[in-house]
Amino acid sequence: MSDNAKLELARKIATRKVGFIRHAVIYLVVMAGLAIINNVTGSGYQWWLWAAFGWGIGVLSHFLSAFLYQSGSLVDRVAKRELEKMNEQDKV
Amino acid sequence: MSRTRFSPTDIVGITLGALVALIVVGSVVFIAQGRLFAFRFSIPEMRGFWENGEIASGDAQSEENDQQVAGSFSTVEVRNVAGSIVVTGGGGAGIGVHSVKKAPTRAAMDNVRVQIDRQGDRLVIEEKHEPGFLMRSGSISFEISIPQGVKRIEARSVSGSVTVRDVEPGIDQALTSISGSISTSRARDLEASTTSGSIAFVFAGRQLDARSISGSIQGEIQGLDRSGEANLRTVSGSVRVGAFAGLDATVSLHSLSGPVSCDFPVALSEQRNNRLQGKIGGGAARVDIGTTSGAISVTRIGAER
Repeated sequence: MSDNAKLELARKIATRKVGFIRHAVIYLVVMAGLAIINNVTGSGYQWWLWAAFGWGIGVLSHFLSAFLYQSGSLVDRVAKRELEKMNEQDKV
Repeated sequence: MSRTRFSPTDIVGITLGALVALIVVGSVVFIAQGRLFAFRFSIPEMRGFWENGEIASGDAQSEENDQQVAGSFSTVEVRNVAGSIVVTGGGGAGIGVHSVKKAPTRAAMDNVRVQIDRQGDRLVIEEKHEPGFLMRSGSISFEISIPQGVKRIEARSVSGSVTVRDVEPGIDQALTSISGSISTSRARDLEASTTSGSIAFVFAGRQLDARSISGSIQGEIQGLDRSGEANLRTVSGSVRVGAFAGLDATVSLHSLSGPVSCDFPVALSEQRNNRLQGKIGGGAARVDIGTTSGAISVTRIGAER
């Protein structure tokens, strides 16, 4: 992989990670706000947990895409493997 | 062999991810406490209802209860969620609490109860629910009768109406609802607030605050102290107020898109189409009435209290 390609990939990964951190912080701040509103107004019914659950699934998906799939998309990875296979066949 | 090293970004990201996962798992556990998927079969009473088709036919459960709370209290606080609150005078020696509990099922009925707490000279009457989401469908309406000696009433409902009637004069009131209307037939200092309901009041005191978002405000100011203040505000409703003949106040009436009228002789400091400012009498007290999309009228009523 060329230096430029490496730099490009590193930027992509960094963008994803920082994007996730920003998303998670917003999620936590909004949920804290909703929890406070819910409990200060004294309705007793903890409705904010529904939002915490629904949005939380989205944030977790973001986490997975940012931290676990760092080598690019599935298509990119499969294409990379296919390219390696072709190169090996060419050598033979 | 190279070892993977975590950068500070990785550590922060993974920590936040773990925290979010914890919240999601916590919320799932909390939701599950309401037996989201299994309650139909795990609670015998519920099973009976389902098998008998009582839920399907929508048969509601209802239960009335009367309690008498002995003692003298200067403040009575009432809180509920979906039922109405009515506070009346003439409650003998103690405070009478008539509650009507309603729920769609027996199980939901058992999960809602009336809680009465004495906190010094304050009596708190409230609707309490057991933990669990789906068991919160029950509601309690209150009818509270108060004796002489009560100086303040605080009532708060989320979606029910709040009504105070036939009480002794000279009782301060703080009445709140989110989507219900508010009505009081006699109040000294009054704080009334609702989001989507109307407000009706009769007031004679020093401080009047009535606020609504999408409801109208209607009432009588039968007396206002010279150092007093009346603030009436709504966004999409009209405000109609009758005031006692001896009103002595600086008035400010303003509407964005409705007519403004005042029966009293006003020494005007400003008058435009939808805005009127000036003094009635010496201008001692302050009356501030505002709405965004409704009419405002201040009329004179006969007797001063």
